[in-house]
Amino acid sequence: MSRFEREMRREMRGHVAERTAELRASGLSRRAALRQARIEFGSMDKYQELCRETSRLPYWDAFAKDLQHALRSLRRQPLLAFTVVATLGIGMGVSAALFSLVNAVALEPPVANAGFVRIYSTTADGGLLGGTWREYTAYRESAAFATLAAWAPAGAVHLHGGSAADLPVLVTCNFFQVYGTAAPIAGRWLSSGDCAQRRAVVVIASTLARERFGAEDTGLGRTLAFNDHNLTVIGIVRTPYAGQIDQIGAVAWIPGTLSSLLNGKPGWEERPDTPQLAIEGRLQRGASQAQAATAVRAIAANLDAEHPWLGGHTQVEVSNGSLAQTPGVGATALWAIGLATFLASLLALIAAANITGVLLARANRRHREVAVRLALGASRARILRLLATETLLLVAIAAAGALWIAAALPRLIAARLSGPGQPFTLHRLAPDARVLGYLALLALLAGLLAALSPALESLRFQLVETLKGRNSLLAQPSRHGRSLLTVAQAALSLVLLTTALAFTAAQRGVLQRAVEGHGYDAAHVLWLELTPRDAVLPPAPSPARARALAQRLAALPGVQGVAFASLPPVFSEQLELRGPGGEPWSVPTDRVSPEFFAVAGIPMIAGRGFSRDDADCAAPVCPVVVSREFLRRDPDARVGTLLRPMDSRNQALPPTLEIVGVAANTTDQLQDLPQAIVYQAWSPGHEAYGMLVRFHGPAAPAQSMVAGVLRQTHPDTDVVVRTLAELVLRRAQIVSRGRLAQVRALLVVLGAGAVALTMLGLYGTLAFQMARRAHELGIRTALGATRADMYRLALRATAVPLGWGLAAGLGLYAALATGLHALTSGPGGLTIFFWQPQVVAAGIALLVAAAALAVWRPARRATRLDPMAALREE
Amino acid sequence: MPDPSNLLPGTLELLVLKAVSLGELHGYGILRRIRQFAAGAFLPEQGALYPALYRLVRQGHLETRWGTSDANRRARFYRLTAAGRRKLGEETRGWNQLVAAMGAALAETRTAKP
Repeated sequence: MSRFEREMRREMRGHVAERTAELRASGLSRRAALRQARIEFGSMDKYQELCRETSRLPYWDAFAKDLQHALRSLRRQPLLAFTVVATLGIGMGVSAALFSLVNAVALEPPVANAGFVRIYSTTADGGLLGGTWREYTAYRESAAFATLAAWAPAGAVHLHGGSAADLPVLVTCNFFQVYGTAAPIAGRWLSSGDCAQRRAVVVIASTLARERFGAEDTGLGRTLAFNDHNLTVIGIVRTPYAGQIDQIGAVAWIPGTLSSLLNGKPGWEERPDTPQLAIEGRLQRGASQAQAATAVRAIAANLDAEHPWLGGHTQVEVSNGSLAQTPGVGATALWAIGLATFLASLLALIAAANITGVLLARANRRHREVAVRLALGASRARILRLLATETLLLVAIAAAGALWIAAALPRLIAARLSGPGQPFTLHRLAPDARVLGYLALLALLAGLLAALSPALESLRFQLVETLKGRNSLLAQPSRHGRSLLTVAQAALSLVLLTTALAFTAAQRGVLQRAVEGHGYDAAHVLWLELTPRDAVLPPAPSPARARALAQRLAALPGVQGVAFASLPPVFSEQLELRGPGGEPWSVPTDRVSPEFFAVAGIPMIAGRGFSRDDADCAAPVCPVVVSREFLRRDPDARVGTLLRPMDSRNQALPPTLEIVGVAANTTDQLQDLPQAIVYQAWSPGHEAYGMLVRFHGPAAPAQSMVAGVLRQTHPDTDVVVRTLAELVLRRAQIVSRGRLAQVRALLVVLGAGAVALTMLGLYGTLAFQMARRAHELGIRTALGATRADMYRLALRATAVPLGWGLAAGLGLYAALATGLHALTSGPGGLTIFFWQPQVVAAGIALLVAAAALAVWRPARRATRLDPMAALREE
Repeated sequence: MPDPSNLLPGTLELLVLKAVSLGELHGYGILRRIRQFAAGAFLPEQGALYPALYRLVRQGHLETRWGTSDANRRARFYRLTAAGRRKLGEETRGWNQLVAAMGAALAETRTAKP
């Protein structure tokens, strides 16, 4: 008890004692005097309450009293308290956990340490380009950076005995200074001397060390073969690790100066203007990101002025490496963050609406208690505060539980999203200020919703009638409030459920579209994969050997044509070139033999295809064939137009490309969008190649025959022969089982949780309404209402708010669908159609079925009401 | 005839200030003094005194201390502050003006000429 309370009570008791003493002195007995004194004083409780209000107790004093009362109230109803805390805690916790992931993926830089920056070069249309070695060496001299590193995936470097998932990365030797301050678990990082002296060394991942040497910290001094060159392991880094290039999973970091040694191509320094590098670093102490951006832009402008043959104007951006700050993605990312946050918050809002319904029902039963308090002199504001404190205490306990879930759940989700070779690397998953702020906001919204309406509901009654034990008209539960809650729950559940169904349909759609045509004859063309058993690429075939192999395959029964290509139509590399307008442009490209278009079933529309003379083009101008989509995107381009690759000083690439033909469009299998492709002439001297074989008849015999020929000609090679359709389907299956499936799984869980909460809310609401209306129902039954009438009455009570909820949910989903479609589409994304009639209809049907299931039991109970018992209740 | 036992609304605080101005008192003592100079007027319930006392303390017109009453009991004593004195003066002047104006109005027998 506070000091104020003690003194106030003592003072008033003292007053009564003084008066009692006076009365005793006048001759009354002790008992009579005390009684008289108390009557004269009046209700001590009432005046104490008035004194409390008058004195405006210190806030903590009043709050402490309210808190004590709230604790006593909760102890009397432990099951209710547990239900409220669990429902709200889980709802807020899951929402906060999902927001924590959104925060980590989109808003946080990929590296824990402060001052991390990433430098992007962008094209005029907002596409991202790799940095060049010339740019890197110029930027690193800037005083804005403490250190600057560059890296690139070493696609042409293969680990002996490794798989396609074992990706090495070529790096500058200061790479690890940028990415981590923690020491490696064994050995050392790369040093400047390793690059300067071109030492044959490598730092490997702990997963690779465990696989090759038996333990994750074992292997120092041992060697690993990359493209037939032995590199000595000097360090082992623990994985997952931010430097693993999220979701790709690098296993080895090799000095970039070894590039030309390992893959036989000119290294970074020999091709200083090829955009191929990711450039990242740390800001100098005291330098800001904006200052760094100004510095690199000035350097880029100087480079453009010094090297006018590169043409154009280099656009540079400096970000903290987060998705939200990625050029060209930032605005979309913010949209995505907003939408993802909203979807994540829906579960918490539904949980809050659910417990508000429970608390409203409880509030209606407390009218008598509140009436007594009012009669004793408490003000309505005081009672409102008292009742709100009870709910806020529950919300606070739930928020503490939600914080625990928000801290623990993201790790589980990240582990679930990770796969072999695809770590979901997030350096920080613990709740930070943003997550805590989000959780606080959720708790505030939930608290306001759950506290205010039940508290106001508790004050809706007529004092005298309630004290007499009668339910007044005003004491009828607020129908509108409860209906609104049902509307809100149904609307939000429909949004979550329909979004989950849309992703499910998209996943199926990816698989279905895989078997449809994409502009080439996928069902009657084989793609031949040759995988050397020792992971070293075979030497490129000589022209004679290539012709001999093609003739041998063409002679097989059923074979209609043989072609060579660097990649099947399913995949492509990227070519950076400048169109006629001088703007830089990154386009898909493939190198194909003259027979390619006929074999793949891609018709020529204009001009010509390739001839034998186009291979090994050494002229100043070399021919290319483009797709029709290329002409649509570059209106100035036509047959005869000249295109210039960006790295025009590199002797390995021709200085100029001339469009000699236009082919029909092929579409990207995932997005079903036409591709703007540049086909270049394939040369037998090109080391990367594959073969296409066109056939008629069933696929299995053709596959068997072709595989047999290849095994004879390539005895030390694993031969895999698939139709293009199978190839496309495998890729679609990988995508559908990857991130798409995981996002779908999360949404399904959210949707199911939302529907379950809504069902719980509907059940509770209808059960409460039927109990309150028992008297009325008894009268109806006595007057002749049938069981069917009772069912109709019960269902109508739910159907109306549910109907409004579905309408509101449809409107909300329609507003979201456009945004979601825009976010998931585009380069590198998937075309998911959110507004599909069958998806929306399925969502509505599922929710209605769930609602019918939820209200069946209370409706059935209403039909079995004993009218006599109900009429006796008053 | 109006019941003189009921104090007019708003007058209790003025009477409390006046009672305390004559010397430090505890709650019951204030009540007794009000009875003495208010010619028998009393509160319907004695407890109604305390919200008025606490209000005056909160407003800074009274200050308190704990002491021992004549009956040798622990009691809270109230005394006037400087602000309370000013408040008492203002309220007394206002009340006197009101009484004079009402008295003049009630004594008037002539009607105003049209």
